[in-house]
Amino acid sequence: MNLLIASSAVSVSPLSCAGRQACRIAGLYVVIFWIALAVLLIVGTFIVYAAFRFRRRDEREPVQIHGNTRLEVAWTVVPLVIVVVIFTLTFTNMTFIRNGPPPEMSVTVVGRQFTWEYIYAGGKVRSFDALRIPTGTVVRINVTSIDVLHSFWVPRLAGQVYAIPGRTNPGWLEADKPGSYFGECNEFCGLGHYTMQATVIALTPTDFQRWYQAQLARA
Amino acid sequence: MKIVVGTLEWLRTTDHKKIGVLYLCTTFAFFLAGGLMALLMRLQLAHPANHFVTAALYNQLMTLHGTTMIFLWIIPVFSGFGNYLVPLMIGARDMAFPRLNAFSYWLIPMAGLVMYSGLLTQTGAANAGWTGYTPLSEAQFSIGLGQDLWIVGLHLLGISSIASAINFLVTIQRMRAPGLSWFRLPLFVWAIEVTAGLVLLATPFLAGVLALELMDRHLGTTFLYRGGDPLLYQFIFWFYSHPAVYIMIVPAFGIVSEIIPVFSRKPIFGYRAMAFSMTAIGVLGFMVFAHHMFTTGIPLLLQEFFMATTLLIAVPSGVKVLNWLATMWGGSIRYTTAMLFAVGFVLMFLIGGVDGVFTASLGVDYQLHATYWVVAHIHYVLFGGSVFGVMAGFFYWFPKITGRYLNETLGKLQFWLQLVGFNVTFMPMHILGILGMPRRIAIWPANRVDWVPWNLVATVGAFFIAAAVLLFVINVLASIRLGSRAPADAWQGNTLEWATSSPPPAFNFETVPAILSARPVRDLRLASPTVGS
Repeated sequence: MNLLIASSAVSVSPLSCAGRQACRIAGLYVVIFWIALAVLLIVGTFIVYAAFRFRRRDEREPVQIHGNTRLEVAWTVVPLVIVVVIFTLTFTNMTFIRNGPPPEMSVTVVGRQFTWEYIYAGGKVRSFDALRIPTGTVVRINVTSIDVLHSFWVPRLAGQVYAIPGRTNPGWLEADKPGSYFGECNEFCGLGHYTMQATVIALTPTDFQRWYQAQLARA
Repeated sequence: MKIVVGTLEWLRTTDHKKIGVLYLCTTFAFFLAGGLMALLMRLQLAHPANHFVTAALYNQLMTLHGTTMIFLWIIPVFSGFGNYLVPLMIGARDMAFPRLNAFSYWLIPMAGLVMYSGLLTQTGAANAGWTGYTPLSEAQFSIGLGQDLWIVGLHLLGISSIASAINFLVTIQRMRAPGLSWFRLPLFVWAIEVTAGLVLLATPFLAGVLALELMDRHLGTTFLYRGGDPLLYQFIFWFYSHPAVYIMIVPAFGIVSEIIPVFSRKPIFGYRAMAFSMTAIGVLGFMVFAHHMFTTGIPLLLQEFFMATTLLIAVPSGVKVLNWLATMWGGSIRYTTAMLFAVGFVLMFLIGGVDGVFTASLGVDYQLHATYWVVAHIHYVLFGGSVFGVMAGFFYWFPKITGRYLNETLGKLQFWLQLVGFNVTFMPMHILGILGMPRRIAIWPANRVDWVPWNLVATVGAFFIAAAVLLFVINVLASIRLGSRAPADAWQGNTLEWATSSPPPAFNFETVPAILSARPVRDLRLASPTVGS
């Protein structure tokens, strides 16, 4: 069972979320989507309606209206209310999205042209092919780079975190179910950028322990 | 002999109208070059695992496409309109500093050639993206001259922008005709004033950070990597480049704010609100820059501040859209090609504004940052917005510049082709973004089957856009000689440029008409119905 050579269809859509952080973000996206669609449809319909309704029919000059303070105040206040709603929605979710629940384990993720290295706490277990995590476990990731900028991104599990040389950026992952989750380096990093894939393999906690102990024994 | 004299005249001209035309032609040539690069990129991305171009070439195309469209097309094409129109609209004989003006222009083709000359070096042109992020753009990771030529080219363009901004500011400040007070100025002139202010305040930051990068590359300093900080580059770069987004769209606001009232036969709705909202966008534009850096790990509180300012800027943008709508409302709208493009602009800008709100929301941005969603968003603003505005401007002022109309049938065909092609190309990119496709990947893997149809559709759309642009080129070439003759007041206009002949004489006006309102040419028309016909 070689999970890395995934010849069948793979989804990397943040909307088909498979972890608490990604699902929280997907929920936020969906709410904003409906607000945005409503704004687009209402204003768009008015514009298209006006474009047809007020076509030139005769050569009379229409009434010269220079403005209407009440209307203009209204369409300053209404957008303001909408953006305040979006701000509040996002704001109340940000502590969870950014910091997450208390982590149960941590892994250092190191970006380099053009691969990722995963170093488990203690430093004895390292892996290049994939980041293996136990399901249902909050995993803190400390993301850094040894050369240029990269961005560690596995969309179905969590938002992206930049890998910056000389800095360590925190993030967190949690997978609900066992499986392979894919992603790509999302910050242009040079010639081989397009080859820089990221893979997270979520194992059941028992399978994970078996794998981890085997790696420890080998180290 | 005649050709030599004619050419010499164009080479040494300091006349704002000739310089304006030079700007428009040169930048349009760069638009065609950048468009060809886009077509090559779309061909490459049409299929998974495609090898139409190499990844090395793709990265150069991607970098040059972005740099060309932003710095050699959109920003300077508006200087072209500004040059041609500002003195005419304010009743002046020329710009305040005609020689400086010529200097600003001549830097642009030179800068373009410097940048493109990287293609002739062994290691190719710059390939670190139009943002040129460090450390990737440092000598260790971007070897060869390409990146240096890119930096020098941008430096030259920066000098050109700053010089022309000073010229516009002084011209608008000092050379307005008697009676032309601030609140009688055409909104296009307001737009150029705001833009010039942004250029003057922001561009030195770009020059500064590029100087740091150049020193890192050649003098052994480490401002932006190793001991230094890669994020420093991003902070300074975006402190320029976000205001630059408004440098690229505010003049288009000005253009459509001229066109919609003329063809609706109504004054602009809420003139002062339009002027103030442009100014508000200009000021707020300096306070949103770190929204490009939400995923770089900057403190959450800072992110929340920039989320607030970013969302706030949607408010004056919304005011503009609704005021354009209110200008059309109750009007008597005549659909010339210019008006079609102006209405197209409002609709596309609306979409580009709404899809930008998603990425203003921090959490959502963690998933959409640097995906095709962002590619879609910037193209809705900069193509659906700015380029549609430019096209509206071309159709509207071509009769003033040449004395002949562009062909309306070809123009309308072009509009519909461009509108459909544009949406077929860029609407699917929203879907690609939400399906997790990163931008700037030269080759995408075959197992991403849900990306397949949308990439193919986007590539097909790109060729519709190309066809529309080709129609425009044909239209211009044919209409220069064969177009029907335009009178002084080609469209029953409002602003002073329509008070002089088409094309205007060397020194613009024999006498500048009295200015008693924001619509002096309409006042003239009402006073004596024969003027301008």
